[in-house]
Amino acid sequence: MPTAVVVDYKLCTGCRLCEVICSLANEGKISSNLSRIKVYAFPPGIDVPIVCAQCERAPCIDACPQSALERDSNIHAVIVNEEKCIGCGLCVKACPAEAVFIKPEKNVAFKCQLCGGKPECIEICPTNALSLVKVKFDTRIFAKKADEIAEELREALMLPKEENYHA
Amino acid sequence: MLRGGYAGKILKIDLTNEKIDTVNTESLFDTKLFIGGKGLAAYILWKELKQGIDPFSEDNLLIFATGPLTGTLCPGTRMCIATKSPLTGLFCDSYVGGHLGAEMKMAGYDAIVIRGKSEKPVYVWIRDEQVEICDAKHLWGFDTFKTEETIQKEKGDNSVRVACIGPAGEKLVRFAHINVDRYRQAGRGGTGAIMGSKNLKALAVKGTGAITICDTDGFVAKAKEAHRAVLENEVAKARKRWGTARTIIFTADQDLLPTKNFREATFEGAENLSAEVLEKRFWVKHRACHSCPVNCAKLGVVRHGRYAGTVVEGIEYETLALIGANCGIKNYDAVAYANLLCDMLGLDTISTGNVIAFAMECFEKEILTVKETEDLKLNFGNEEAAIKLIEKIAKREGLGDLLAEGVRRASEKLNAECRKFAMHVKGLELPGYDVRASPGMGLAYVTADRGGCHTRSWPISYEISGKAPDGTVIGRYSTEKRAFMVKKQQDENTACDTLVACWFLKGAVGNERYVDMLNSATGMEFTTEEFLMVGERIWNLVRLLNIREGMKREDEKLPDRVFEDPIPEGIAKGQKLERGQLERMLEEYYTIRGWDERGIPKKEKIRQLGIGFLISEFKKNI
Repeated sequence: MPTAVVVDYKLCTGCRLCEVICSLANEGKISSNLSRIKVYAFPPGIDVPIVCAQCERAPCIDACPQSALERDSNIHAVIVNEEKCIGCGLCVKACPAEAVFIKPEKNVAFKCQLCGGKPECIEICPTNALSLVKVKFDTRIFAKKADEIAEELREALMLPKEENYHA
Repeated sequence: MLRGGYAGKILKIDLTNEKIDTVNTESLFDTKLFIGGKGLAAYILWKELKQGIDPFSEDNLLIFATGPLTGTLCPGTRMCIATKSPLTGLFCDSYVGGHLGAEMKMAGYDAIVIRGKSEKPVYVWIRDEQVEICDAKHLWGFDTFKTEETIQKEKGDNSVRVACIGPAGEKLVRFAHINVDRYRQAGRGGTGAIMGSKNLKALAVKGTGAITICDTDGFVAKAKEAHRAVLENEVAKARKRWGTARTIIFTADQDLLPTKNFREATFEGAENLSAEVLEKRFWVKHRACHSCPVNCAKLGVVRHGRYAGTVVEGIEYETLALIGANCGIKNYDAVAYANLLCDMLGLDTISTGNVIAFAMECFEKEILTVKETEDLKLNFGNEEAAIKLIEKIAKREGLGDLLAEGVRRASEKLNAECRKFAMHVKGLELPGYDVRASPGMGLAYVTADRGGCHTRSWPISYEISGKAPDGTVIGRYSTEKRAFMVKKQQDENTACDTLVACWFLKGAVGNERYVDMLNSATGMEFTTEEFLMVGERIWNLVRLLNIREGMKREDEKLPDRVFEDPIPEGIAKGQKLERGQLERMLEEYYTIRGWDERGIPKKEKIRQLGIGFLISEFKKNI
């Protein structure tokens, strides 16, 4: 059964330890630009981590003209075959969550590949906002954009539309 | 050659002639002697700050300094903003969390050193190597939130990190702060007024690069161990749930809570301001600074009453103590709104609470009348009057203009009587701990390098537990071991301020783990003893710098109130400090520090700390 990093958005504090460990573990250096999980901040104080949902009918796989994106047979993550990838960016455009990126130096696509089954971001997350969940897909696409999630969260927390301030 | 941890470059900007330079980090200071953060900032100020200048002159420097662990996997790192303070005329280092420090490092800079003064309002925009001084006419007058939001919108990127000032910084309110990431502030000492004096509205940074680590595997292992230690630590756990707000019941119970301008030391309204009430009624979400597992920040919303709609992170203990108890205000929603106003207008809540409480006492003693207050009835507990006064201070209107000068200058302009209850040390308004029932804290305040400050040492926990760090049993109101405790904490804290590690995690992480992380990140080879000696070295460097700026032994004093007015109520009823007690602690402290009777570091101490080369530079300057 496919697995994915699932986010409990209310628990995210915006510390971005997931970004730090992701880039450090996968790329050997610390950089938001090289992280496969990204935390977006929306005022006032909303934090939305975005990471690949490993969709069952993955739009990125369908969009790739080189068949460079494939489903890993063990952990069922969508992985990039760097040999085949030509860096055209069609997968980036196809992803509804904007969770696929192009690596600047190498000009190849990169995305969350679940760290071979033990995602580093889940281990480091200090509030357990992230967990590895076996997903029973029913052909829906789970991925969502950060601003949509932020809006839902704003409503869930009952944050006022306008702040009370009249100095 | 720096091998990791550091970004490797320092950006120097002269706003007078719009000159922008990038230099190697190592060309400006010796990383082995000063590491980074506070050490970097203090050494650059020592070398480059002209002696005796007006803090508002264009010659003053404003330094944004990170440390080698800022923005890494080390739990809870921050950054340091240093300058010559307009409140104290001395060295000032103010710390801020959020994400700006990490962003600066990813943009490629360990520090940004700003000097000069622009003719017109500007902001500095940094995107990696691209550095621009931009027109800020359209931002001038904006509050801090609107400034940040406008810059992010203009850049089309919410992840641009902004440090900016509000109207208070523009108007040179001497305790104006620098606001970062909406709800984080470099609060103390008036760094925001220095930005204002330079016509610098904001610093906006986007970094797309990377921070490299010397020994990645070793570093990750050490950092993960540190994270586990923090998550298992009881103090950190409490802070994770309740933030700093939980302190208010402790200080109220222990007669340490500044109440009604430090007249009383416990507050009948403390329960209303407690973490338990805030958790039940106010908080909706935990928030954290970059790389921090503790998430001591709490996003809160006021749902009912006249302040409904107030959304703010907090309320931090210091704000609850100084704007709440110290002004006699017992409604958390009013304090939340005052907090939001201070954040947006650009005011330090500690100093603001102090000057308002000072004005309230003057009003009750008829030193100030409704004529001066423009009909504000400044009685303790009048929350509406306090809120109006915050706005007047930020805009320097009416009485606000006097109070914007800080409590020392305001009291000097009024009369001799009110100087006794102007609660400051060396011009910096006191934070949330009354010293009448804590002699050690009295010593901590008078010897703190930036003036009345609680973050250099906080011996209260030893005094309450009755045991010094070396195991000696001590009396709560005695003076024994205080000099030893204060020195030890000052050196340790200063060492951590070079990394730049957050004060709230220090106990849980411990010096050894910090040293392990520092060494594996940078490839340097510090022992714990050497690391702590860096702290002592910088403490002495800042001492020399402050003496060069005119600080004297006579300045190491506490307000008369703590010697003259005993605590009226609570477990320490009747307690006050004796002048002789402070003198004894101070003499002992100077001796332990290796300073002479005037508080000047002896030559052999300076040599022993490996900075003998400062002696000739020091002589030249005094």
